Amino acid sequence: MGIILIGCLMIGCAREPEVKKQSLQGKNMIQLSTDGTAKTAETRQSVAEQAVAQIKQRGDIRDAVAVSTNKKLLLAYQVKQMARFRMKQIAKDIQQQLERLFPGHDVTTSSDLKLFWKTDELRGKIEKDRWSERKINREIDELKRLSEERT
Amino acid sequence: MANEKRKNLTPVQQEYHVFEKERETKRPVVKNCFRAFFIGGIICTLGQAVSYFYMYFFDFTEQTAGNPTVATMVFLSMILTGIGVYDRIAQFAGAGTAVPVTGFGNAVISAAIEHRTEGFVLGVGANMFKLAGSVILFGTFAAFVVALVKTIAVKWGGLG
Repeated sequence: MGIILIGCLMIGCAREPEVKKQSLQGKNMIQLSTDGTAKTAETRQSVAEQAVAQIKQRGDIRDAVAVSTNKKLLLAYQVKQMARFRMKQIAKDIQQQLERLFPGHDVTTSSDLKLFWKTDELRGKIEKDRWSERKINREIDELKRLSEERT
Repeated sequence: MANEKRKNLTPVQQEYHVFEKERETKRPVVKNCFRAFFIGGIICTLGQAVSYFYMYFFDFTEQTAGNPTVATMVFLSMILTGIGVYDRIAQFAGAGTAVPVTGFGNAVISAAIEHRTEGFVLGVGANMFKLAGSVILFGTFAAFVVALVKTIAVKWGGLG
């Protein structure tokens, strides 16, 4: 009986790393390992790339992710824990900085974690499925609406 | 006992007071603080997990996930009070369970259970908010005062 029990436990342990790997899906939700932008043949993400590079240079930002089209730019960022006391000022600064950098674009920024996840998801989809400009525009509008919700 | 009052006592009473003070069980203040800190922290972590759950699986943002999270936590504490689990946790953790929003659910349901024998209308209905009523009253009043101060500061103080 004891041997069976120990055997079962051993089998259980042996499979554990595999399960863990699956559940994490090899991806950290907060920290992104790539440069945080998507590249496709149809829609060049150079604006998003530049925006992410600029914002990541700031000392109070932990991570940023962006998507862009010819007219629109959506950037979501994560503020470092202790810098969150100055959240309002940081949000204002980043909005102004991006509007100055990309005057031709309709800039949307957000520090919300949900927006960060969604933008990252959208970035992945653009990269993988080669979405058209119109479809990305529509998705950006949808996320903008989500970021403006208050209640 | 306050010094003022102690002066009015007879010598025998004062003697008894000293005698009693030596023998009464000390309140374990530090221990209680630690228990409240850890259990309260666990409840808050749970709340954060619920909030992340709403953000991840539904279309709630960090801003909007607060309302359903509070509702869920109050509901959970109500259920736990009903089946008699929350009382035991509260016995152990004290303020750690009363201060978070879960304490509100506990106050409502425990009052309702206590007065169940007096009937549904005059018992449960009348006494349900006996404890939680003060929370609602002073919560609303405090919010009103803060809003008033903010309005005055923004309108005439040039803040914001």
